[in-house]
Amino acid sequence: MDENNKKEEIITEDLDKEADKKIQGYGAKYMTCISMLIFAAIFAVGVFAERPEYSESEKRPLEKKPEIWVTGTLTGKYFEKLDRWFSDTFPHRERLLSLESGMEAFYGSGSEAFYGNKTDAHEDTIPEVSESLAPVIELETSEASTEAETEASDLYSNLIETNADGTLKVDTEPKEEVEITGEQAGNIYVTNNKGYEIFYYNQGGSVKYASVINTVKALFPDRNVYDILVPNSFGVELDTSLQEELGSGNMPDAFNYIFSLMDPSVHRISLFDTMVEHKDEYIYFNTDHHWTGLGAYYAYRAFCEEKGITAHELSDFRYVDYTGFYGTFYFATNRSEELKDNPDHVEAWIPRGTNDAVITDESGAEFNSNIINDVTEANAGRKYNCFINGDHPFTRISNPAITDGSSCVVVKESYGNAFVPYLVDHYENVYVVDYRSYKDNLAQFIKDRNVQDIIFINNVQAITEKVSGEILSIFS
Amino acid sequence: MSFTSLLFVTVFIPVFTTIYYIIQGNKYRNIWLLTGSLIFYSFGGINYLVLLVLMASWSCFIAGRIQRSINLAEKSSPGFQDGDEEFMNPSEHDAYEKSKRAAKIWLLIGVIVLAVVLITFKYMGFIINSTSIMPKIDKFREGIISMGMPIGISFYTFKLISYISDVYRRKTKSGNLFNVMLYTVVFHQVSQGPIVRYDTMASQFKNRSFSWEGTSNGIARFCLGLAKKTILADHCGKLAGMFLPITAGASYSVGGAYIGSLCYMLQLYIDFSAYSDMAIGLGQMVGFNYPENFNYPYAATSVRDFWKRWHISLSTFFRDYVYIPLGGNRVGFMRLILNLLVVWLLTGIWHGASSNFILWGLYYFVFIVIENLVHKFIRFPQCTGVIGIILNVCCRVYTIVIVYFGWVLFRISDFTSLSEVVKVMAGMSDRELFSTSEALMLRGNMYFLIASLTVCTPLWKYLAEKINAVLMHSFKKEAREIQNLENENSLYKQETTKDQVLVEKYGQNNGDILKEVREQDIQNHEKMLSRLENRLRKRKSERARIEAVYYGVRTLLILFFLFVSILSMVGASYTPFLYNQF
Repeated sequence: MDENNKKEEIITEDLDKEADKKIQGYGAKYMTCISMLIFAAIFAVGVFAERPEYSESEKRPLEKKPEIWVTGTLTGKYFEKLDRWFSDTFPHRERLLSLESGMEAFYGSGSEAFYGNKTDAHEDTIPEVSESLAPVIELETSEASTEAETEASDLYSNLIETNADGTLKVDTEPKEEVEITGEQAGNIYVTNNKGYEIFYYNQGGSVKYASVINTVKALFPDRNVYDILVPNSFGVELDTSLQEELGSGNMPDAFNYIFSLMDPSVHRISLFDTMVEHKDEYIYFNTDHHWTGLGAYYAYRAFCEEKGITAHELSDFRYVDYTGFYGTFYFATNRSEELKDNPDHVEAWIPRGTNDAVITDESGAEFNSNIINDVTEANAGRKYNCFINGDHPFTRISNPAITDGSSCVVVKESYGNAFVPYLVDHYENVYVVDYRSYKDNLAQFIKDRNVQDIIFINNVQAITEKVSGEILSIFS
Repeated sequence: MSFTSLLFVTVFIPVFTTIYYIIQGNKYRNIWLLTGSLIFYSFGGINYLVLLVLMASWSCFIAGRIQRSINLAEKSSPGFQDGDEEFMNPSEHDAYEKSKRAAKIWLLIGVIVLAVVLITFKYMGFIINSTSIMPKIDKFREGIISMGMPIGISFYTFKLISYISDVYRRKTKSGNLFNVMLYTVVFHQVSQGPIVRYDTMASQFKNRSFSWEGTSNGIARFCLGLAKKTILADHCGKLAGMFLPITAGASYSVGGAYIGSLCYMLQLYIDFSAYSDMAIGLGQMVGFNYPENFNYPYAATSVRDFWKRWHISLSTFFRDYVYIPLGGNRVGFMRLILNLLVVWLLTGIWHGASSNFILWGLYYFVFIVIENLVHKFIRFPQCTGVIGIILNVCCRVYTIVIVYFGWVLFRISDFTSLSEVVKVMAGMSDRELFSTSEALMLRGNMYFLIASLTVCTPLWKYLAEKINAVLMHSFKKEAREIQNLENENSLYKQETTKDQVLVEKYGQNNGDILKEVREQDIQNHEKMLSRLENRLRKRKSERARIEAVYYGVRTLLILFFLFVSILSMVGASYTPFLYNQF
């Protein structure tokens, strides 16, 4: 009986198989054809559509189509470049990238988020006020060492905190090449539609930084040396306990410690209390790691108080406002949806005396620019360049309204850019030096031009051994 | 070119497949497949392509020699069959032995040359760095290190070794240069396997059939693999790097170390299985059937089971070409241990020139030996019911834990970092249990991680099979109706002939009655027919509906997968396949 059943089953199965052949299903055929059409469409877009040349979000020119060369084809370098060019300049890349981040918003829950870009974040504990000062570093001025120094700073120049145009470096290279992490966009914390760069206290950097300032003071005992330390939004706006959980929570202690290491004759200006006092105002950007023009204005008031001069009121300047700014946090968080909803605007106040500046670029060529630039047309990510046209090795601003021969040098990274415009109405000449790209000997320059005030303005993230080394290198 | 580069997806595939479909005949299609594969491989550098061509030609030559010797051996002893050696006359026997020996020598030469080339490219940097050979010639050293590793050399060398060994073992006949070249460089497999055997491929070079089902399945499989790699694997890798960075002096907590390792474990499987999906899919698109390379390894019930499910083509390679030739498990216990040791050392070394891979191989060796011992000395009773389930779960948990810690070894090649990580994971450090940033990161990727975890289980496959069964069922139902209709027709035919006979027999007497019967028959038949046809029509429309939904959804899924993959591939930030480095 069982066998019969089996036989029957086999027979019906065979019948089924035969019947299967008779049934013409078109599904697979249609599916194949439609899929091939999809591929054809992708092909058409990929090959014929127009390719972008500049990335607004990453603030860099995109890869160029490589020229073919023989060894390149032999070693595969040419194809690698071709491949990279192809995907880097894919049509509609910006839109596609922003769609991707939209997708990533579904990966988890919560309006707070943490974006780790820096894996070697290391946190030191902040010591109490130091008993002794940081040592003055002996400067060797022999040709050889200068060369070595500049070479070293060249080495660092691609690792430094920001790109030449004042934006954080965002890592877009494949993983394997990221061994040297340098100071790329740090770890970012996003809450309430606002980004914060997490601060980790660095003991070695603090000592070296104070040491460098002491060294400069020792070089110029008869000039005024100002050191302005700028806290970032992380330290000013977040709860101390939250700061502690995420990184180092005691920025004012760090500032006090660093200042305690410095020669008392250095004019030391901690902006921490000033900024906290105004923390409900728009002093830091939501989507960018910089401070706003307003934040820099309060710094300027603190500076005037220390220098003993009267600060101008904001209403004394002409006010401009540029909307539609998305800063580094936005792009470093892979276009966080949270930040997307909270775009920034750049407020600026044009100096009364002049709005002209002469800039020397990296190649040594000079060109004229404005102090407060019109960035209405600039890309969304480049609006901070409103202030003195972004980062350049050297900028000279001469105020025709003042003829008392006064002058100052501002040694800064991109934080200083927003601060410089306010100084214009107090000096005949304001010289701005970006320590990361300045190649000449600043000590010599200060002597030659008889500069009275040397102003260091550095943000809290810049207090590292590397940055200190870079600052030192421009003085020798 | 990588499978996940935009150049491959948006240019190579459309152009290659379109031309492939236009060309008719397997011979010309094979030529086009070889051309396409050579172009594909040349993207890694023409130097390496030359090396590959040389290796393939060498193997082809060696295989030819071996084949000739084997043929000679067989000719010198007609009627010879394995095990009949004693029936040969002495001169025949000598000639046979001589040819046999010649074949063996050719095999040895062939394998040694292939192995030496592989070792040179893969391990020279390591050997030079860790020993003091040639410490003075820095330029030479740098030259070797900068030479780099040709893409897929570990994979295609193994394919070639398996080819000449198969010829020697008479599992396959030696092929011509074209076939061997195509076998070596076929772009589906060249960069990362699977290590498919020559006869599997050669038979498909000759005969492979085209079907819409196969092609559509292939496209779906490819797109699925692409999405798995670009969406899941790469992000898992990113998370692994954020939770547990392997750079020196990195900061992470205990929890971070565990979650980071979990992410790495997910990444490794999803990455490599995605590649295999893509390779199999690309093969299916042009009519090839490749064996599966993964079978949900993280659902294994023992370490031995794991290796039957993980990178199957590699473990079967070691089984067939190392373990079994050494005597397999039909040897004494000590010898068995030795055989296993050899296999696992080789498995470790194959993965790379770094001592942590060797350690990783030995790690598995230990567990395999333990499992062998347990199997030898303890007989597990067959358990069913609740106890069976509990036992099953325990086995799976045990396996996954072993595998998990295995990947920790596998990931970190620097011993100081490795011991640091192990210490942290063992709780022998003063690091915190969990940091806020890690908690935030975990929460921000919670759904993603859950989705990635499900991909490692057969859940989705099970679901797909269930849905597919619905479609198959509707086909079957329609087929049955067609069959019923046919049956009815043939039955009616039989009836009418039977009637005819009756009419002829009793025609004169009861014509009327017969007529009536006949009419009745026709009526019944027509009634039956219309009923059956109605049912068939119903079944047909039902089937068509299900089919439309089934294929419609799949097409939409393809579109979706392709689209999200392209989203992730845009920008210069593509991550190479993990196994490309091995």
